[in-house]
Amino acid sequence: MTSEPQGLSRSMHLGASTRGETVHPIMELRNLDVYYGNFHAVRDISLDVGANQITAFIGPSGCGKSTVLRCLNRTNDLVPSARVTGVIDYRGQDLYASTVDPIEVRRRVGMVFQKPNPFPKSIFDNVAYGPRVTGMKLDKSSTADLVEHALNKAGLWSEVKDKLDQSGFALSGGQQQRLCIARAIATSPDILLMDEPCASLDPIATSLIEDLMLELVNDYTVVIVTHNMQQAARVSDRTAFFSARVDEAGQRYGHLVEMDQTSKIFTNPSDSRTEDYISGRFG
Amino acid sequence: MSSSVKMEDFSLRSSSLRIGERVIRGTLFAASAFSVLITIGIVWSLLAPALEFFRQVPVMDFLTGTRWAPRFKPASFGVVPLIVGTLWTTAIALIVAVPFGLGSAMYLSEYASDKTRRRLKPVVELLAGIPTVVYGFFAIEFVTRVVLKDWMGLDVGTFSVLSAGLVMGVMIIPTVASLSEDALSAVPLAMRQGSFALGANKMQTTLRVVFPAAFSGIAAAVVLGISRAVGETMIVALAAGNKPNISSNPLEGAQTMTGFIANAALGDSRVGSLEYDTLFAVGLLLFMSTLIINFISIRLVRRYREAY
Repeated sequence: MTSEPQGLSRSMHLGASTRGETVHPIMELRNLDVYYGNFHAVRDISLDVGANQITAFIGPSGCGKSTVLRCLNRTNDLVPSARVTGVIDYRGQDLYASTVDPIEVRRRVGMVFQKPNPFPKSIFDNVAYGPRVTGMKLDKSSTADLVEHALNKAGLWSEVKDKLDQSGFALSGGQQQRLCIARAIATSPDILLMDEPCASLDPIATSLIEDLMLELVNDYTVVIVTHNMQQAARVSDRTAFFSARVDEAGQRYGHLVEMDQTSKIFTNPSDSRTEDYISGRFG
Repeated sequence: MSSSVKMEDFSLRSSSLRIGERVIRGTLFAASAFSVLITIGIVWSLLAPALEFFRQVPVMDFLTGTRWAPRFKPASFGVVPLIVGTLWTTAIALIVAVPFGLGSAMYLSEYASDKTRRRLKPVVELLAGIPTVVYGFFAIEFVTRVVLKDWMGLDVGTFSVLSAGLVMGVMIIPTVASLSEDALSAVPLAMRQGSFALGANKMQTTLRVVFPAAFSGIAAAVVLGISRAVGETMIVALAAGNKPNISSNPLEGAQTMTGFIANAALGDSRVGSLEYDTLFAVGLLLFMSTLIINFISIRLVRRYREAY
């Protein structure tokens, strides 16, 4: 890894974490249920995602946090057997209304995945991909400007500016993940979803990505799923704690235990199960 | 404890001679050496009569001559008409096989449900199991007579390059389709998800992400299709006729390299005669062509292989 990006310092963000107090929801989930075939995987989720905040979803494996995240840009639609009921209100529209085109949703709600997944294209073309497929009418120089802007935002510009025509695969894992973030930013989304974005990265690359999230939240709304509780504590404004439970029929399902300001979840949670989890007594 | 501790019966030497391991290793080596030896044997058996041929006919006359009349007096050994015949049938075959093969590969890999794919793919592959002599009769009886003459009203003779090429294209569809489908399916799901998450639709994802990612495999599939078309014998021998012909009209018949060999090998050329050696010269040329094509294929695969 090379230089530290010009991100916000940790101390600045600790002050900023008071943002968690007021919520101007950009997305409101009400009684969300997700089924895979006959399997009722996630039950009765209601929570708000605050605009220009980082919302963290934490919880043990199989608690449904990634499933819920994937509902927010309708990537669950790509699983043939998946079915979603309930309402996700996004700026006054229900994401799962029959008139909503999932492609339009994904143009506004971008996503970064657990494992970096650059396309087999040059660094430049990776970043320009989103604007090109969404039909943004751009000439050559404005495409170049957009690519530079996105790579800058992702803190990758200085590292790749001399090799934009090289394959995205030529980068290190952490750089690839920042490339994927740049790629998502290039379409100017409203919300950025991140599904364990640091799970396959080393601590230095992780720290760069975390700084980046704190930078990005000035312009975007960020929702992150993480297994790393320190990460949730470091970056997020509000935290939702999910857990898994077994119903009468013996089916294991995910549900929301509680959601609150991150500082409250980690110091004084309302539910004892949250406290058990964050103090490492289970999960 | 320290390394000075000694133990009775403590040995790091192999407890058995591991003969079984060596036998297995030897057997497996023999299996792979076998195909190499056979290839060398084929080259050898082609080479000796072919060299005998080139002692009497200069190589340049053979490669650049435009009249192929090995049985005439005076005989003429210009192989260009046979090469042109092969190029014609191969080109027409590709015009059929590439769009249909890639189209069905994309459908099977990207659009079809699991259930449809499981049922449809074996059916597509079934086309590859039809004996080529059956394809040859299909070309003469159905494609030439019914499709080209009756339905399309073309002024086509009994033998035509067009008919042979079209049917040969059908024959190599499964090769192109099946191998391309394997290449497309091997592209990780994460790459498609990445594309969908950016607001791309299915066609954009397929053409701009999955297809380039699978390019090396698809190129290999097409090149394998080409080498099958170049080497295909029965269809062209039956449907393209046996008249060497440099023509720009695909409605006419022509003879291909393989067509000549099949035709002449049935005749009564004496072993050791010039006519007999001619077969091997053309055979060697054919072998070299497919070798070069396969070599190009390997280079393509290496060059565009993506590390995912």
